Amino acid sequence: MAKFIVRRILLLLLTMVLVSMAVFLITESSPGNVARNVLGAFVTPEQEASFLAQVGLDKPVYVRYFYWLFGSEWSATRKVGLPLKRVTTQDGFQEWWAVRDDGALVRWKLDGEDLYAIGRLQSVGVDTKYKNNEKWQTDASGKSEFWGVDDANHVVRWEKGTDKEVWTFITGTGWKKSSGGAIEYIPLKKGFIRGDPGVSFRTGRPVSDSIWTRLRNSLFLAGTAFVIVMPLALILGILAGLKEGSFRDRALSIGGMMFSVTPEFATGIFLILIVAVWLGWLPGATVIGEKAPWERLDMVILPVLTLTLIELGYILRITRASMVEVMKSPYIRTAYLKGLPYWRIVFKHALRNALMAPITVIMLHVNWLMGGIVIVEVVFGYPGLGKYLLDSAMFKDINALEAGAMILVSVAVLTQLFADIIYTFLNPRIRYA
Amino acid sequence: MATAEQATAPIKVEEAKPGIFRRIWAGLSIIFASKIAVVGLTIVLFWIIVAIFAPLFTQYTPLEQDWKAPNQGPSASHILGTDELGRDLWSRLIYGARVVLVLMPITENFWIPGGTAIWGVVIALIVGATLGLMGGYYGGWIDEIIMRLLDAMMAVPIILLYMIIMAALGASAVNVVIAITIVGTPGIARLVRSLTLDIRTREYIRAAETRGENPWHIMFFEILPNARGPIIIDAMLRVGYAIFAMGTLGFLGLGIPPPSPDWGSMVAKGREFILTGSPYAALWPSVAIASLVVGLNLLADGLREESMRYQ
Amino acid sequence: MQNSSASANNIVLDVDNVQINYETRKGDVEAIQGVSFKVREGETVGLVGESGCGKSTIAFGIVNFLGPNGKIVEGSIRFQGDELVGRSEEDLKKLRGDRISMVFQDPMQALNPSVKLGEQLAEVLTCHRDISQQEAWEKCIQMLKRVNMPDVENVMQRYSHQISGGQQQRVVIAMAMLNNPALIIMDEPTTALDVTVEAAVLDLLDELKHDFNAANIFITHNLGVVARVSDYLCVMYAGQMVESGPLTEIFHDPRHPYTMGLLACVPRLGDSKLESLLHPIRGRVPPPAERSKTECIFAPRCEYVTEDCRKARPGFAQISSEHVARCIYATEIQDRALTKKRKKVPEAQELAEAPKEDLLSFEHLKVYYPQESNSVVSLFGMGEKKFVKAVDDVSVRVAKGRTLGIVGESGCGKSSLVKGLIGLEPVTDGDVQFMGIDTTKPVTERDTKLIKEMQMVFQNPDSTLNPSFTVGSQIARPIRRFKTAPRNQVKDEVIKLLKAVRLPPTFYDRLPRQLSGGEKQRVGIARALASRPDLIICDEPVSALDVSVQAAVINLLLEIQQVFGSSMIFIAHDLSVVRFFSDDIAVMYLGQIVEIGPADAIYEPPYHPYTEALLSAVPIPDPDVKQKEIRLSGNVPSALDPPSGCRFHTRCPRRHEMLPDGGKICEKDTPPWQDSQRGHRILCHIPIEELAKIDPVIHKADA
Repeated sequence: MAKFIVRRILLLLLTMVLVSMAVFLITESSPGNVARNVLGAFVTPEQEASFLAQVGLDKPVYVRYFYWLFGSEWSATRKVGLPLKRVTTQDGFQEWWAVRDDGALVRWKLDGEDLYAIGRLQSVGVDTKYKNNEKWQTDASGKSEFWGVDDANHVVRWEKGTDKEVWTFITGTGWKKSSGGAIEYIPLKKGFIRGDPGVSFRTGRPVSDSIWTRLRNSLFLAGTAFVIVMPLALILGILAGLKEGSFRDRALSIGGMMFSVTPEFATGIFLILIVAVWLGWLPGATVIGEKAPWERLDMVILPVLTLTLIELGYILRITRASMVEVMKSPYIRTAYLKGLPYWRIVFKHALRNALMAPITVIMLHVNWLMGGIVIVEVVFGYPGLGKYLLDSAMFKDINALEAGAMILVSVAVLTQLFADIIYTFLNPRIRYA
Repeated sequence: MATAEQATAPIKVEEAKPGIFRRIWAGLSIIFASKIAVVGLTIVLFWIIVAIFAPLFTQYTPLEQDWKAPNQGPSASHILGTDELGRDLWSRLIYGARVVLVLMPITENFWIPGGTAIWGVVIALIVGATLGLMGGYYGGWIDEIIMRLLDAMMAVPIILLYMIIMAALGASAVNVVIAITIVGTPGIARLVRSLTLDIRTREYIRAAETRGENPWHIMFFEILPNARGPIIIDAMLRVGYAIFAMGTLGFLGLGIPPPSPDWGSMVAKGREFILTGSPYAALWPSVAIASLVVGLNLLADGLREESMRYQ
Repeated sequence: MQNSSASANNIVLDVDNVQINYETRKGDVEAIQGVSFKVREGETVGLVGESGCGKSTIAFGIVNFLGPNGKIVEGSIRFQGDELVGRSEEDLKKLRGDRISMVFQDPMQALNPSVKLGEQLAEVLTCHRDISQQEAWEKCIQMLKRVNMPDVENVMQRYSHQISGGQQQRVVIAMAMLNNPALIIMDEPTTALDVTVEAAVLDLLDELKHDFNAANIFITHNLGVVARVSDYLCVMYAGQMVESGPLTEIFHDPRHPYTMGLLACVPRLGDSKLESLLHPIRGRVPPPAERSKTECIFAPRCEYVTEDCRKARPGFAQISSEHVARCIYATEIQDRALTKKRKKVPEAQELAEAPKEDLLSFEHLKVYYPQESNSVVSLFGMGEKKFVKAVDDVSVRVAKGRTLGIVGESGCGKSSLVKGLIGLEPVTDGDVQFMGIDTTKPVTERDTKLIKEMQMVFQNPDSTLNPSFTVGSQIARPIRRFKTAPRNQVKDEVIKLLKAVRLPPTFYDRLPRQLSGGEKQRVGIARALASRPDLIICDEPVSALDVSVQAAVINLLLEIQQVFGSSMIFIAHDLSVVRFFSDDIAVMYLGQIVEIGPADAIYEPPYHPYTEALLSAVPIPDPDVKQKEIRLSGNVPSALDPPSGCRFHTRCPRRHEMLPDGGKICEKDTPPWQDSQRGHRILCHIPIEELAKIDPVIHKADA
């Protein structure tokens, strides 16, 4: 068992690494670019170059992958020569600072030829600005440069006398042109494995801010559907499987099949047409904005119903098939010939064996379920993780896409692990092997 | 001791007809023995026929726009109505079926026979069957590597795979085929592997091995033909899944790009007009996908049930 | 125990002229017809017949458990005086498991894999009587002890897969006995078991019969088993009862040609191909839909058939007070002449002369399988590797034109030995010489010339042929591959081979599913012959066939050996068949050969103690034969970690009495090979002179 779990966890890690690399490589090689997506079609080449440099997209893909995975402050620290620290301000923003030998936090700013340091003593909380030109390091050719932390969470390389123009894009406001630009930028982040998936290009905010809300919404949707589907599908499946070939069995299994193979968007459209448009009972879209979904349950009913129908049919059919097989097995025959009452044969002898297959299959099906959730979220405009992921993928918003992908992969592999563990406990043949 | 006459005298064996026809006939008789298979076959045949002979079933082309009549309901001139650009929904529907079942657009002007869904399944079958045969037959580390690879592929949520693939490669019919192949391969490989694991214990495989046959001969000539029943049924279900997947991709905007009529994108576009009172542009393609997939599943279910009884 | 003489006439079950039909799409099909027999207290009625004869249908018919499409259409079944036909499901449920219980063939399948054995046992009591859980549990423990189950308390808490096959069958038997039923129906209860385990279970059934005085119905295809357990015999053929009567009367004086055929077609233990011949019953059992209603059902296969037989289905002829046979000539059959020719007995063959040169020899052959360890460490390729020692240090020679038989119970390594020989499993160590060529390499690396000289005949007729290809193409494949005939003559060659295995040329275009089991086996033999091999390895070639067909296939193999002059290795678990077929025999136990020598020498003292136990366990189809009762204790140890010293010491019944010090030496030292005579060798510590003094296992009682 221990071996098994270790193996699964290794598989999870392997899969995550492979998927994250694949996402990076594929996003890299794919046509279109983020800059256009973020900045619009009318961006000038200078603006685009400046933007790319600031978000670190001018670096080769392996460097970016490394930064994304392990964080960039390792190499940045070496360049600056001082330890770097991330602090959270009172407004909830995260800022990176260098730590001076005396413990004060410091950042820099280039103004013309002069380098200014902004120091902040943690105890006081007041910033002091002072000239810091002694930090320039001049090489043999007479070029002076300096690695420091700027005020937008980058470690940057300034070169004396260049004073590049910088185009800063502020989402919702537009372009701002300023001077004091640097030659090279390293956006600071802690890296995915330390829980910092970076900043979303699309929203300009840290991915971790929005992704949890989206995940919560999706889990609410999936969880509600699951709680409805499981008991219903298992009971109906068992009822169908008890009497193979009966009318009840036929009706349930063909009906279940129809629901389970109809694509979610088609089911969704049918439901919207019938329930929302013709009957007018429920709203046909989920417009909840930042609200939690349980505050507008009327808007959640149709998405949940759509998911329920497709999963119901699937689980019902698996359970039915398993039940039919078990009811034909010799040990059920033995039970009959022992003269046991029917209900005892079903509950004591058939049920447990019949549930083994569906439970594992259901867990494996979580993989499919996630696809269903994405579609349902798109059909109803439900603000969940799936829609977030889809939008990120279309936008080539790599940080958001990676974070969402990693969540999906973990959910998929962990449910498989969970399924295997449940199976082991249901099946003594494996438990005591 | 037994003589030839003794060994066979009382046994009546059905006379052997020429192989291929008898097998086709046996297959058809299985279908006709099951009601649900016949219903399924009827639905599937309906779509195949209207797809092949699409120009004969409509006076419009799928791209013809009628600015004066957008978002119409069914009428005498447009039996299923029109979409937001005034295009005839029926003709878009049956030309859409073409893309799914009969012809696949490689470029805008170059089409090859065999629908997009069919190609996706065929390629997945070839790749999956090869991997499954190799894993199941060789076992050992080859199996281990193949299975771990497939495990990893299956651990990746399908929808994510779709997004990644389509985001990377862009929307085109060829890329839809690639997506369907990648998603379908692990399932087929697992099925073929499990069938192979069973079949390779049969004695005729040992007989072939004692003849020193080449492993590829054993895999493709001794094992594969005997796995064909479950594979055929699985392939039918997979064509259903592939149509499902095409619809999903189209709906997400990842499918076959316009101007090709694509059912999924039709739904996506039509969805915007549902709440403004023109439901038909979204309704009909949804009905089309649902009916075709259900038809394929009915056919496969009926076949499976009958062939189990047959044994 | 009750007074048996008083209860002798106490009829528990009276089956009278029962007919059972199954509904199919093509209308009703007659599954069994005209079955009548009585079962009395403390007696066992044996139902014998080949597969497809409707034996199990009768069993399920008695408790009316025929499935949704089966029904009793005629006759009556009276249980303790009450009619069972037409009784409600509720009434029958009360009888099942309480007054009437059943034991099935495959205990692994019959027990629920996910319910503890104790619970499965106890529920039989709790659902039929008003009894507390505690009390039921204790009764179950007592019953398990009664069926000689070791470690009873523990077994109650276990699951079925955790105990061995023999123990599973004991649990099933205990389950059947719990309510002290009046009638026990046993459907092939020992068929899935090894011969030594089977013997122990049969002993147990015998004891239980005396203790509980229940009426028993014992269904089997094995004449040896039925001869051991039954008092009365019912012979079934194609759904009809063709003969019934007291056991000894039927064995001594069979009156139906089918019964006569059955008795003549199995080799008796000790029979040899040199002096006797098997008489197969031609053809096969017709499937239910093809059974004629207007003539004797056995007519197509009967050797005494006349025109009168084809006029109507015959009724029963009374032979003695309890002996009836369904044949119009039953009273005079012994005096009638055959209407169909039998093959003549071949001229007595020369007793095999001095061994010719070796065709094949292997020395110290070892075939080990690596065993995957379950620890976390092994995940990273570290940790100790374990091996299943399937074949461990085996040396054998096969002379040209002779047949070596290998016997042993399942798991003894006989199949691994063959696989190593033919190159399907890598040989771990040892030296194999075939016609002077080193043959340790796997088959993929062997020269085609070598491959073509060594071919196999397999066990299972249903899987020996590839279902997708015609008979002709399957026989042609090796001919093409080994180029034994020019390309344009392949078809002629195939037809020649078909003739050699007594099949008509029309079989060329048939698919395997159109063939019967015996025919498939013949095609399998033809395919093996196609490359003209010098050595044919027969892996249990007849064990999956019905007895009447078995004889024909054995005869065919013998004939082929004479015509083609091939050497053979013949693997089987049936000691009578091996004895009949082989010149030399090797007995294997747990990866090693323990005794080897000329066939007749193996079956007479001196025996290896294991051989002795095997011989005393073989069910012999002759009620007059008395066997010594030597039973092995315990299970076969794991080949992963075989016992030290002599591998058989953990179960050896002889070492304690025949060796000083209780046989301590067997636990420590590997036993030596001791030579008897004519190349007969035994691997044992007990001196060969001592072993020679042991009584023969089998006595034929004087008639």
